[in-house]
Amino acid sequence: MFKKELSEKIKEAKTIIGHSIHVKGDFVGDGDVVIEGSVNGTIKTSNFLYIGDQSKIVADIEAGDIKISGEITGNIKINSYAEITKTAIINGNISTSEISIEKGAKINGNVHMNGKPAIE
Amino acid sequence: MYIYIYDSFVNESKNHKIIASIETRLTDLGLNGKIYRLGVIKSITSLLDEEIKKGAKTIIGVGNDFLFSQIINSVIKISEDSSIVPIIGFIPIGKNNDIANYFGINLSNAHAVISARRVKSFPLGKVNNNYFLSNVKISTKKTIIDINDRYQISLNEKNEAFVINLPISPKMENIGLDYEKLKLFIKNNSSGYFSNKSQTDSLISFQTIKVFDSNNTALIDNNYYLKSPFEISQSSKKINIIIAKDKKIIE
Repeated sequence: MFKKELSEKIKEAKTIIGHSIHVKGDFVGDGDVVIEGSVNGTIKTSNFLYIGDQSKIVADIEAGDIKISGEITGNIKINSYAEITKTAIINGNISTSEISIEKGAKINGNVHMNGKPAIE
Repeated sequence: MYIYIYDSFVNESKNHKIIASIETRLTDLGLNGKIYRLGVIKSITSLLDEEIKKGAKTIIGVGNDFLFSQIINSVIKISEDSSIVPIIGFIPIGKNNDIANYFGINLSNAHAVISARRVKSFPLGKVNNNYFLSNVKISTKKTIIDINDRYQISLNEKNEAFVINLPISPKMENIGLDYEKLKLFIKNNSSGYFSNKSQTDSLISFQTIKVFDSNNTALIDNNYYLKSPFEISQSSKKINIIIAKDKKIIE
């Protein structure tokens, strides 16, 4: 059910940073956000954020929900649910309420659940 | 009072029958007015300025997108110094009529649309001191676009960049529309042309974008160019357009 909702969110995203695009600075997304390109700086959205498998992010991230398939260097703060897929590489800490981590994902950092360290 | 502006190509002999038929229908509906034919008059802006001062309330363009864009820009510029913003209508002739088509107007229903007079206000975008109804195409040769004074996007020649106010071109109809914010659409040329909201293309809503570099251009409503630096934002000005009864508009 939730996976279906995620695919719909990706399809209907209001903000899309495509493969060829490089963003530098404090990026604030409008509605659900899809990032397939690269970002250096910070990323903020109160909605859903998808980080595509070819994206390279050097940024601290704040979002409502997130699905990560790309490479992130930075700390990630999620209000609700974080889905980490097998292609994800994360160099930084994750703070979230719920999380799923697929086999193969690489996380070099701490995972905090509701602000409490769950995995170190 | 109705003012009709005929584009110069409308006066070509192949269009005489069409124009005669339109004029008959307009007269039958009591919509006749003063006719100006381009090619003879000096400039649309000065002509409309005079007519609006005399009390013209409705300007009807007879031609295609090129003329309609000129009329829209002229009316908005004139209305900057006037409290009266005339209503604009279109009678599309020939090719390149995306603007009229977007508002549900074609050659066969144009007279009925004008007669029914369903008027809606549409927001305009602004590039420096110029206005646009549909879109601005930004050149992408080593272009850096500053967005909302918060972040920057680098473009290259493989991209095409459009700022969209109204998705008037049929090629843009898949782009989500809200009238509150302009959208920056960046096409990656390796993907289909506006075919869908492909994840390889980019779509960003914004309040203001700036291009500082002096080597760029902006093509306004597929009509004329401006050189950078330029700033693009939503204008507080709106334009009143007569649209077809069955044209769906997001309120």
